[in-house]
Amino acid sequence: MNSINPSVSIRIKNLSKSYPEGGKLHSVLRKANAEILSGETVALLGRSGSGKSTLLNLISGIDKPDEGEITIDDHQVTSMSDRERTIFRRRDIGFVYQFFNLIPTLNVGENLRLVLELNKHGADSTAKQCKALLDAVGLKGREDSYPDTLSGGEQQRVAIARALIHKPAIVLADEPTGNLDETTADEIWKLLDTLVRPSGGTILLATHSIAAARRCDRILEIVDGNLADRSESYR
Amino acid sequence: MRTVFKALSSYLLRHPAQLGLAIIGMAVGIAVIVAVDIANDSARRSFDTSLAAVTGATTHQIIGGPTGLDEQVYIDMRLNGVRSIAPIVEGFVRVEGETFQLLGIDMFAEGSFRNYQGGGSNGDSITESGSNILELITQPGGVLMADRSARRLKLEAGSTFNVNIAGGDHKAVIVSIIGDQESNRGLDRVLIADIAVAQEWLGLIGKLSRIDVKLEADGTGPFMVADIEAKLPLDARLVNATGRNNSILEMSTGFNTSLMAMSLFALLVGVFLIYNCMSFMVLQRRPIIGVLRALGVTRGQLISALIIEGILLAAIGSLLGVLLGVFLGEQLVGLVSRTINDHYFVVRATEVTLSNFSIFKGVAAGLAATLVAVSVPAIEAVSYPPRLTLARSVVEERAHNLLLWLAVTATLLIMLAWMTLVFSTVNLVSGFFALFLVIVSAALLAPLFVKIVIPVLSILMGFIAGLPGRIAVRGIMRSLSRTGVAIAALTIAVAEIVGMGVMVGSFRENVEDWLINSLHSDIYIAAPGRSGVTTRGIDHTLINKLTQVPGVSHYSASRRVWIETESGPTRLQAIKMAPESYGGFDFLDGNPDDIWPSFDSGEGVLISDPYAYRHNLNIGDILPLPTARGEQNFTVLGIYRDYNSDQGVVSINRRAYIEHWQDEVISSLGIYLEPGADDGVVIDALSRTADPHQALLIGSNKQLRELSLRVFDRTFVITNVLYWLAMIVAFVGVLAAALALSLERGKEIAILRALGMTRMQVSKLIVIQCGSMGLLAGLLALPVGMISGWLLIHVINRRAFGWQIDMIVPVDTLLSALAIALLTALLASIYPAWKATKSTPVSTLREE
Repeated sequence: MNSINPSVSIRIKNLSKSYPEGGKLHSVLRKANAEILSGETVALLGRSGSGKSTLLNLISGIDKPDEGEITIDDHQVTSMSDRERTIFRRRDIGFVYQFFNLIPTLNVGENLRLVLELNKHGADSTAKQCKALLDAVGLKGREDSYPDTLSGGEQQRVAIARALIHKPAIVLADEPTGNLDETTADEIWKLLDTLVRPSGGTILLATHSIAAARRCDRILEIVDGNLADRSESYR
Repeated sequence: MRTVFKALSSYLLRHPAQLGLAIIGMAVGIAVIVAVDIANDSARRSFDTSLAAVTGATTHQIIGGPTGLDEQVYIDMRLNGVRSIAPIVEGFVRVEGETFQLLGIDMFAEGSFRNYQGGGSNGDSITESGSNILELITQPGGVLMADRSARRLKLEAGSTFNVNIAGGDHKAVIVSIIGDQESNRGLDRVLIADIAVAQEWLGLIGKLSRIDVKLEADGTGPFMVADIEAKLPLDARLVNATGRNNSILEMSTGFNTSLMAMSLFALLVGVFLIYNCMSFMVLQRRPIIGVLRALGVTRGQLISALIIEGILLAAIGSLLGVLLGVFLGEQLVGLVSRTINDHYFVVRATEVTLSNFSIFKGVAAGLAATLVAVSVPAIEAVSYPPRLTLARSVVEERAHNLLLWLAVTATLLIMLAWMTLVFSTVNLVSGFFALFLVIVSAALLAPLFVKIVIPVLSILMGFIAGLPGRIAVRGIMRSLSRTGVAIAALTIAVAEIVGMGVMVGSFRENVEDWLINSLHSDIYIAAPGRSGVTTRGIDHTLINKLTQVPGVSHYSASRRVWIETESGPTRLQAIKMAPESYGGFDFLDGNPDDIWPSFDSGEGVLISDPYAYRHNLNIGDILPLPTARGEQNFTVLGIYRDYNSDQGVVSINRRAYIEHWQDEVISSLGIYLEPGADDGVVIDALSRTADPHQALLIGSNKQLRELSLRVFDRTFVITNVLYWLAMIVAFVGVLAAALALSLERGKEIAILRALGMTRMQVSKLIVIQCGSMGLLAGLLALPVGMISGWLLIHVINRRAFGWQIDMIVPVDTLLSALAIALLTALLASIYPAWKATKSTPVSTLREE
């Protein structure tokens, strides 16, 4: 089983981000502030377009804020160069998307190995890790299958395995069950619970589902571009 | 419908690079067609205009033997009452480094034949400057020169200049300038002199080159053809002027056809490019098409909108193509003219002629290609239910399903090519058709080839570049509908390079071997003249002095002339053999031990391989040739390898030649040195001996070989230009495909970036993908190019020029073709790779 570095925390300070829309700037985040402790599982609620995905992209360094800071374990992501953010992302972040986003030209095993290869892991350990993790997500013996031959639930299992294969400090999940039926979604939740929570990893989960949010340690909600702790309101 | 059109076309405007590349590809493809057409047409028109000006109203010509006609023939005909005739003495001369045609005329007989009227209105004032034509007689060395030539040489009426003929200089003076009217355009680089002056300069005292005859259109007039023929001496014949001109013009037909065929190959590459770009543009809009179909837009409406859009793009591409074609044509016309001048006849193509037909051909080809390119994917896209139209996978699935059918079609085309060659054994166009079919078959097989090779390449790239390498290579297979066409286009272009490289390389090696084997003399001496043909040979007293120069052991001698046969001008070579000369003949048919005794005793002639091929002659056949004693039959004793002239050469023993043609002129000598003599020293001595008498061309064996190979290389410059143009089209094709792929795979690239791939790694992935496409195209192009080379050597060259060449596979050509394919693809990847580094994953991921 993967052991995840529990020493990381996420600090979000006065974070602002806007996008041009119809010739005007549309503010998504307005001086948002939050703090996520290491090992915490935090749900991120909000209406469509409220900025949930934007926040995940900013934390992972895929995008840059207009203003404000994001600090992860003493590293200020917002002041990093593009290359530094890329290396930080490949090493410390695991990302699970709603639409799985597996590489269609690579088989299951290769989709997992890609992340390890980018992190320059040795071939022997890579093979073992992939096998173990695929067993853990219930896809034993499917290494050679291509994504388009898998069901939605199976693809999301592969995506979760890919997000965890390099033992990231933080797992960001953007509506990971939004594209799945209720039963399969439930299985995916259990999987995330089983694989991440016991090892103390930090999970930030963007979702519309209140039920899913209630499974988390804490609930943050984006309202008018600000982050508010609604853990008590939704319990 | 307008809204449908807008919904579809706004996509194109949002992707200007794709749109631009489609138009550029179309334009370059059309430009090559137009350019070659212009170059061919300009050279041909220049020749026509020149002939029209020089031939004038002549309907027939009386032609003599190699030494011309006795002028008494003309006098006798006049005395016999034949009026519509004019004597002509002509030859080629050099003025200030340019070749001019010297036309000696009898001005009193010229009236009804040629009209050099410039600005004057009275019949005898033939020039703009108003000088009287009679000055041609009264002024020693007086000539008329076209205004255009005079301006170029910075001469004017009254200017004196040197006319160089066979190494001797003659003083000329311009008595008048011929006006620059349309009717006089063909007189550029023509010098008109009184016939007596021309006879003196050309060494044809008492001789005429020909007598121009003017008969009515049906061959009647005051005198019938038969009447004139009855009055002709044995060595003269009456020929139809148009037919004679056409047979001269036909000499270059093989060359012109080959050029046109090569330009069609560039268009073929262009068609693939257009298809690739246009089909991509249609396929990219499948979601829009799907939505429009779902909203109730009919298939017919969608197809119409897409075809109208295609026609609009074709119109823009055609316009640009024609403009670019004119520019390219201007550059090519010089190369085409130079090759025609080197090998066939003198053309003075100084002006580019743009005919409506050239434009029409280019535009029609572009339009047809675009319509096919748009129609196929448009029909395909609208043939699915709207829901499926949205799915990209449907397209790829269909592309994969098509592979078998493409392979079957390719096999059928190859069979058709084979049947074409079997059933049409001499026709050049059918040869090109077979070559075209083979190339198209290869293009159709390209996607299947990719499917077969990709797994191996994927392992290889995985080994070299890890998983990003595999992603890149497998992406080619995954987007086969896109990559297959780009690889096919590049394959055709590279196969053309390989094919031409194999042909030219083999040809050059054959020519080199032939030069080494056939040129045995240590030093060559020739009287200057076109292709060794000169009216004035080497002065006989000078020959005696030259052969007495210390170091000279013995010599061979030859005389080259054109004689007029039923089938047009024939090159005749009379040889005085030296003992070493015999080894210079490589007989393709016949036993040398039998051939030489008969040849030496003047019993027959030897013919070169192209001559045998063109005239369908074999050993023992009878070849009738017009001699001074009328038509005589000569037995073909042997057929030998020769790369001197694609029209072929007839060789005869010098003694037999003198006996039959009564011409003792020697135009060149082959000098053999005493053992130990230094060729440089002897050349100096020969030059010192010759200079006071006659300016001769004197060079060593090595120099002559080098000169021959320079002319050879010059011949293929235009071929190189054409295949590099095809490469440019292919480059645009790969660039368009690479852009299309990176655009389509934007999301995949964004995911890779999100997973931690740096910008540089993403660029590397795109470079690997393009490089792999280039490698695949290069690998397929090698066998296809070899087959093309074989066809070019054994079918096209044989049929167009009569050459028989042994095929040699130049490994360096194959390796460089592979490198070119790879390099082209890598160059094409630079822009998409750079573009990928500029894209941010967040925008792509947000679009989800």
